[in-house]
Amino acid sequence: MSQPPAGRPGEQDGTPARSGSGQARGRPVPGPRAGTSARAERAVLARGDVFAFSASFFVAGISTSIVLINFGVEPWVVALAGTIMFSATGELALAGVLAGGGSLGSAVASALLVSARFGLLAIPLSTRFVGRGRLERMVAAYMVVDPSVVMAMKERTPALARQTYWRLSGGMCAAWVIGSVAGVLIGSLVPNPRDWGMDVAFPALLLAITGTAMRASRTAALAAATAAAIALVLTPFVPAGIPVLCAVGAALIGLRSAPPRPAGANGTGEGS
Amino acid sequence: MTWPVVVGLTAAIFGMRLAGMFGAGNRIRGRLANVVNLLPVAVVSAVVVLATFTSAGQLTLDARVVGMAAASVAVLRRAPMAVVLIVATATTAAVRALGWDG
Repeated sequence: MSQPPAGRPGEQDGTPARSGSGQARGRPVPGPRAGTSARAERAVLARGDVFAFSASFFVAGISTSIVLINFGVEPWVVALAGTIMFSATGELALAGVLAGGGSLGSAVASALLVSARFGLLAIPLSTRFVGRGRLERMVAAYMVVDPSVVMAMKERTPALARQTYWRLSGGMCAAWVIGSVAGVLIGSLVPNPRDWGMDVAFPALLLAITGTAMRASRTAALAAATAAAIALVLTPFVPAGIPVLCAVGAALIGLRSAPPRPAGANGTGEGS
Repeated sequence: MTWPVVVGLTAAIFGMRLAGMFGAGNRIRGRLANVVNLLPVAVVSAVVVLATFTSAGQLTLDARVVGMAAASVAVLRRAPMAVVLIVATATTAAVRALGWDG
């Protein structure tokens, strides 16, 4: 376990560094912050990443709308769901259970179960929004999806994390809504998206970001592998959504390590 | 699936997101921060394997597995995100075009 390099900007004590003049509400001002403003920190997120994430959300939006329409959902309801819900897995669970003859109650329950992970993902994100305005945090919460949170947590400082989060969320949510509506409008003209392998676009992107996180930290690699194993083992025996919720128990591996570098430098607990 | 259901479900999911954002406040410190920081990678890793190896709640092996294996190679070679995306979709499409899909 290596000590964090001394004097890294914004990682001096247990309080996330703040950029600009905003004060953390009701929190002690961070200790000495040598060189915080000495040089501009650069975001880990590259412009090409925003494009790749947005592109995958665009095709996921199209595919989801096509699947829902094939389930017999009214087109305008599909467009509405794509525009406001921001949970493809939730939409698919709801429509899928109903199309399979399930009751409304069980359909809603499974949609809630598969979407519950967004509530869990909002917890780490909230640590990067400490002291921010209520409205900003509410908007941030509304847009929580898997990739934007993972990428934001990789940033070194809360300010960079928020910048990355907003850039990604803006691109992905816009692409998702446009894709969802486009899927409704032109869905009948598009051939089966599966023929183009579009169903792996989103998982492949998630694999890429897990891969970088696993490389950055052995603890993260162990947690990711354990979570994957838990999810696979449980799948045949429990309803959809439960495996992911149980798999997050793998994060308890973090209890073994020393307290993290403040601001969670790589979004994965600790390095080394 | 009607619009009141969609609106109600949207509100409920937003509620879960809000609970995560506002529920913990600033109590996340020390070793608990380690656990919280590992949540995203654990969630995403589980979603990845389920999206690769399951369909409709059953374990399955189909063209996606080959596409995701190709994507893993691209990730190990540190390919840019867009390349990973193209490798995965093109490989999956090719395997399906060859006639194998589970």
